[in-house]
Amino acid sequence: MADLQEMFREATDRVAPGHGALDRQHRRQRQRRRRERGLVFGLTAALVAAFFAVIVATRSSTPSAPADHGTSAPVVTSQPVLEEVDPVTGATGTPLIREVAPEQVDVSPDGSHIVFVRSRAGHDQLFLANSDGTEISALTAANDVGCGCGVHEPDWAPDGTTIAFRGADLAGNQDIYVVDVGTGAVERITTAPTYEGSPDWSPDGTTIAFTRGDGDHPSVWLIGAGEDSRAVRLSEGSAPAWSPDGQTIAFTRAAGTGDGSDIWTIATDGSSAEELTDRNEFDSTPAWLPDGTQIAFTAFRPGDDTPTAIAAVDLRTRQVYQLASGLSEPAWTPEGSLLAIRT
Amino acid sequence: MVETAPRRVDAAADFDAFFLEEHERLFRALYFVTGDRRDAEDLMQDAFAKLWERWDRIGTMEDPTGYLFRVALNGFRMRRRHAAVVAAKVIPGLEPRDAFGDAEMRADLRTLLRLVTPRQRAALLLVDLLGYGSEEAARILEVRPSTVRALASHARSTLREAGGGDG
Repeated sequence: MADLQEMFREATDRVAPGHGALDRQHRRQRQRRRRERGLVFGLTAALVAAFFAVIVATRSSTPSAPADHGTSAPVVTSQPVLEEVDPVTGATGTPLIREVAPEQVDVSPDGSHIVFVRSRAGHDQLFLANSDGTEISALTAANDVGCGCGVHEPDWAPDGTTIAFRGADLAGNQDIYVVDVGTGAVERITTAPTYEGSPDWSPDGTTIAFTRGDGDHPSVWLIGAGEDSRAVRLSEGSAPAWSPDGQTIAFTRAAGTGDGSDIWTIATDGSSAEELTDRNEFDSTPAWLPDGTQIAFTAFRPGDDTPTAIAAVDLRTRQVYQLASGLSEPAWTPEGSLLAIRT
Repeated sequence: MVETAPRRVDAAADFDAFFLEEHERLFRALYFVTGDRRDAEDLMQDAFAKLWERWDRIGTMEDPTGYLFRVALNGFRMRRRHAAVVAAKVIPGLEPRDAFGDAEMRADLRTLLRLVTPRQRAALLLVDLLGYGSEEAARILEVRPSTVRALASHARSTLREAGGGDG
């Protein structure tokens, strides 16, 4: 195909890596070497920790205790699945729910149900299931919200009666909506022409934190859950997650320099902003452990083949540790079990 | 010990020469596939870095360039799978970067290239421009050979129809 050769030449003739490509290459190689050394150190530390954990567990377990924790192999599948993850060992078992969209899931406040996103007739919709993955039923349908082009990012209200989510109106404008779990009635919460998404209810149910898109710099906003409420900007960032005591919001914020993003916290009055992770990685989608002592998040290393992982930061020690590889979108059940998506 | 250091220096010089010889061609190929300079350079650097880690063996291979292109396009495939999901979470609501948005090329050519998906452009690059067989191209893109043929064929007919070329 002679034309294709010509097209290729014309399309790429005037692009070039530019000056200093070799220097940049050397820099990249040094970065990789440093990272690998860090990884070896981390793995060694994890192995030592796992060794002692096994010894402690063996000594304290009763003869009848099941012994298969940590031995289950990851499930190989082409469709993302929702799995329950042991928050101590990172081991996963049988998939809880298959064919889920690789995005946020949430558990009802009483722990009895899970809301998740699944594609239906070509568009993402909200589905409910029992906490053991059985009895799956659709919660939203194509004509519930504006454009009928799918809804995303569900977050269960603390009273259990409604679920906030992101949907789009007829013009395709993304906004926050709320659906009544009992009746399926949908109500629109935000109407601004900007992008609004990733809603998160305050523990007292009066306020929803959400992300508003401002070009390259999305920001976290708060809005009252009632009618005629005015949104208030809290900070640059996205994917807010309210702490269990309602005092603090964790969120994702793009790194000041270079690629990547970090996990931050800020008090709900806008004071005490604090960066918790700073690792040249994409750390995103924070989720608080129900006792408020740790924040789990999705970690992705740019420019690498390694899959996403669930990591967590301990708020007392500020120590970051990796929980499980190949997973993203952590969500905690009220009892402290961890759910995540394997893509 | 006396011999090790000079050998390492030789290897580094050898690798640098290989980089200078091949990097522009690889960059252009990756730009054709991704439509983005930053992505192209990032993938290129990663591919070269991986080769450098095993340069003692790869440097003596018969066709290190072929290996380089395989690693780079494999990186493209891996990257697409993870990055699309994760990037959307970091800067939500943003459209993906405009393919060929930074290109200095004729507007009609840019429009034409955008009609073909990155995966189709990768198949075209491997099969029609680099001359890989569909079996080898399928291994690189981790799809079935029939899928590679379908991707390339679909891309060809899209370009032919939209561009009015004789193919």
